[in-house]
Amino acid sequence: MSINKTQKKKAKRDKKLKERRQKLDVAAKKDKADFLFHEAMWHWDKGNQEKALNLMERALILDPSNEDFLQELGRLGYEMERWDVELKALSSLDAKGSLPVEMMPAFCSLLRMDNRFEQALAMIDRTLPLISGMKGRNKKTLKAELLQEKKYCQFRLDSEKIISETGSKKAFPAPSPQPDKNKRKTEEKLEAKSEPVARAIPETHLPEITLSVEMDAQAFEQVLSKGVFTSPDRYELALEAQQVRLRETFENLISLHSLKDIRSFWHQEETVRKIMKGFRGRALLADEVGLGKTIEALMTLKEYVQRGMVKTALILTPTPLVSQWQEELRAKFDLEFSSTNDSDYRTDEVSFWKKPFILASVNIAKSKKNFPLVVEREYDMVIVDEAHHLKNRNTQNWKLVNALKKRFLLLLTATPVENNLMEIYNLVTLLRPGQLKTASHFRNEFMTRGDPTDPRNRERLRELLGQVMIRNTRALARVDIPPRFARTIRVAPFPLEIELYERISAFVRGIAATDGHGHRLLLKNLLEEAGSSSRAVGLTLEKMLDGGTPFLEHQKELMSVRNLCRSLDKSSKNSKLFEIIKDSPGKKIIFVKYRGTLDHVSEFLDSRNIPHALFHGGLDNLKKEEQIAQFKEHIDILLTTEIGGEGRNLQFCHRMINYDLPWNPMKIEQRIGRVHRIGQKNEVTIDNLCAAGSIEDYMLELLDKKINMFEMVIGEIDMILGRIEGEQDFSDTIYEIWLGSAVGGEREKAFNKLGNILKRAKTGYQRTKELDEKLFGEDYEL
Amino acid sequence: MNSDPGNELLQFAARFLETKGAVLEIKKDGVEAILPDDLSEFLHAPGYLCIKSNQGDETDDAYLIHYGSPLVDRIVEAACAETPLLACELAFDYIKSDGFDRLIKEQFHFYDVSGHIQSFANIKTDYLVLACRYTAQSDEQKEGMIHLAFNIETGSLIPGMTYKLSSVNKIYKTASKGIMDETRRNQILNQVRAGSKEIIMEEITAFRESMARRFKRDAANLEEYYQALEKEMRSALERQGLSNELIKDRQQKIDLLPQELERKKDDLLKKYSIKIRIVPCAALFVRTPAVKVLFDITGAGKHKTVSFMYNPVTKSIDPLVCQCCGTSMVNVNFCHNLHLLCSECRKRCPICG
Repeated sequence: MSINKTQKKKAKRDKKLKERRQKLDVAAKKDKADFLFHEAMWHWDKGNQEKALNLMERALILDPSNEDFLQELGRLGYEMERWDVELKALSSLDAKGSLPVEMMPAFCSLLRMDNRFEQALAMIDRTLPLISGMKGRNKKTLKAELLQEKKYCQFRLDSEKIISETGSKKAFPAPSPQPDKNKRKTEEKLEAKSEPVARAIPETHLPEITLSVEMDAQAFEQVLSKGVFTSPDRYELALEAQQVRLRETFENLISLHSLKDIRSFWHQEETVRKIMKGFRGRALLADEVGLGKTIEALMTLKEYVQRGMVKTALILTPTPLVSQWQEELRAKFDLEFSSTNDSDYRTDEVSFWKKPFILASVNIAKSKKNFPLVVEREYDMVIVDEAHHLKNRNTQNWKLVNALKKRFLLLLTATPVENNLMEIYNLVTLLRPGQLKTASHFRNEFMTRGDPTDPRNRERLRELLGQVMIRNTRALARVDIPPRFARTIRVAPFPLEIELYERISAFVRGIAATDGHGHRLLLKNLLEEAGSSSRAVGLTLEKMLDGGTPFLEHQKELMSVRNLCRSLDKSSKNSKLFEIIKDSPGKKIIFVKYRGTLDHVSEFLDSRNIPHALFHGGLDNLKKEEQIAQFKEHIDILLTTEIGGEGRNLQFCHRMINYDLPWNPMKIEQRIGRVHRIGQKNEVTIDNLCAAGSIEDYMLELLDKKINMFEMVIGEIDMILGRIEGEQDFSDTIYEIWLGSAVGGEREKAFNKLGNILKRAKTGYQRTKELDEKLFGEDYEL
Repeated sequence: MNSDPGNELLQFAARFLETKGAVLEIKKDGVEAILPDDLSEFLHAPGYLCIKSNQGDETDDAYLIHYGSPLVDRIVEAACAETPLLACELAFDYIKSDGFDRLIKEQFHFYDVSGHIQSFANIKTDYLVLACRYTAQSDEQKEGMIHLAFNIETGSLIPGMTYKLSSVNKIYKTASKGIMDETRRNQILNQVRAGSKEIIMEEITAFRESMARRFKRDAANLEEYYQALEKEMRSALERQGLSNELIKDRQQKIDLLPQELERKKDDLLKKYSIKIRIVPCAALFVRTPAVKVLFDITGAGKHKTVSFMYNPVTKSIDPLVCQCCGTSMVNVNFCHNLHLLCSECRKRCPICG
């Protein structure tokens, strides 16, 4: 009896806790929605309507029933002449029964424009009786307009009925609906916020571009009146010769079939064609983030290589990106490049710089020692990533690229102008010296005194830049992925877990203090493993002890810590993980960094009878396929290491859990990118687990709270980190802070400082992004 | 490092040389060939030729073959010099012998008439498969190849036939023979004109959209520029100390701005409009067994017998042809005299007047 009572009480408590959590969740969402809405209004006031629209839509995702949001969205849609947006907002209000009376006439017109004639008719019938009650309008005109709309809609409905019965498409002349400009003015509340700005011509006023077909009639006649037949071989040869011709004109890309694990998008293929056909191999690739500039550049390189036009190439990138590039070149394009990360470079620099295909850190290439070696030889092709680092012609970066002898040159940057139009001058001069004439000529002709970012003679500048620059936008590429949302779940570690973490930290700190930079990688890894699970760090300690640790004098401590790991069979994160799995049914991917952690979590899930598929590097290809198939068809949980899902379609899943967190934000982004990619139809939610007080806790505070990384567009975190001065990897920075600062105030201060740096970098990036959108817009799209 | 689709090129070159009478020896790293004198002269190459595809194998007396190399250019030029005409006859183990009414009902839509099958018979019919190269010229250029298949007897354009033809048994013929009379030739030419436009439009959809987008963008920029110019010119008029004559003169210029804008927009339209040129690359004349289906149509108090052709390659019925403009169609309209008309021509039957 008493057991039942206890159970009931527990159940009641659990229920209350759950309700409270849900309430907090909802409240947090509403707060966030409010924040986004106010940001939207601010941007709208500044005239940045696109940004305002984006923010408002995000606010509505979090709080879809908010009528104020919907009304403002409708107004914004009207101002932007985005009828689809306005229609969506008014439809939602109407569905709730909250459509203001003043907005009803506009809604009627929008329904008509959207060819929803039946609904339009119903709406008109509802609106007509309410006209007399509307304030301050020319009611007579309004009524006449609505009646005209009604007539038109009725006609269209009748016509459609006739067409479906007879198949006649052009039956009778239609009465015209209200001219657009008049109909919109019935919306009194929608006053212009400022002086009317010259708008682009509405699409309906522009004629369609014409298409004419001319046949070489004589050639056709000749063929058709021929009397002599040829052989099958000659026939096939002729067809093949035509294909060769097409490939020679770069119309048919020959590299496509040799790409591995990537599906190129049409905008990427067209960009490659344009670079080769139109720009003759010298171009500024300035696509918005996330559209695959790297892929475009490497496809171009591969095309040239396969055509025998490029036999030597140099790729210059920021130091932290060298290994990423090398991996991409090898894995996706089957191109082997020697890099400045290789031992070849360290053992014999002179020979290194003579190799045919080189991938180099810009900083290393431009050094006093290497500069002459790099520039003394010729390259068929040079690719420069993050080319905005070449914006100043007085820097060594710019001088290096300028001094290189090259045939083809690709400069990659999502932000070609950051502060001053001269930056684009400097970039274009590298590509085509003289394209923009001299610097003083450029200043006189294209720059406005007092505002270095406001161009004059836009048309002329556009024409000149259009000969060297491609800038595809996300809208053009139709990269339409639902948003992603994250939450940090901070878990209170068990006392033993705290002890383990502190002892590992102290050990690492102690070694680092005496050893300097020796064993840095090993020590950093220990700390990361400690943040992942006791199993992961325990395994490493076992290996160290078995294989002869380099830290002989600390062997006793290591053994003691290893024993502590062995005794820790539970993890505070596990119960939280279990909660998440139970609270939200559906497919989820759990990411872990280490194999030890994977085994530990797998055992835990088994103990709770939670079926799960496993994915790690130790499986053969067949087993990997099986596990993914299981996850797709039968099982809701996939537990995987970092390799999980590489090259595989996992977009059927939209929830992921980071059981641990890599210290490199790019790795985090790669994890997210497994599910948050083109083809994903649902919002992606990301749960980040971390132990309170751990390095990961501080990291999440920085990345999530300070710069909202998890809700950024793919590729943006890279842009932000790239703005931070210095060559140090982010993970190294974190590591240095942890080592160098004591617990409590000092550590908080150090992480806060890094947080402020990140925030400033983000603000700077956003400003640059807005500037580039304003400067270039859609003028350089395909 | 994978840098050799040149293997495909090498094979192409070897096949070409062989058809032109060269004697070849295939090696691991390339091809050695002994060329007839005329071929050697044409290719500007020695009588004994060694061709390789891999850069690493290049030597002084070996020709390296890659896209854009002079040797490849000459070979391509020679291979494309004449548009070849090939003839073949198809062979099938089995040809459909029933169920045509269901096929017709599934594929075709007849407006305001009803019909039924009268009879059908096995026949032989002829098709022409044309491989054509198109060049679409606008602000940029786009090239490509399309394949069109026509029934010579009816002039109907058969979608999907060229693709399915590759898996059918063919017996090639080389005897000389005139394949069609002038009427049929003209009909085919009209069909090529109409049918190729539709197919090319689909092929160059992204290109068209790109040009339309650029046109809209440039027109908007132009409009913006002229609005700003007008505003500037009008505010300049309000300056102090301008003579009446000067004001009049400037006002005239302002009045001419809309005309100028229209002219410029027209220029833009011409710039972005797409001109497509089609040339034939190869023609394949195909004779095949088929089934002719006679179908009785009843409508407007009249009867008419319409012929359908069952195509064993596509395993479907060939489209019908508009008696007015020659367009291939599956949605068939009829005038009161039961002339077969497409949706465009149905407004007014030109045959009835």
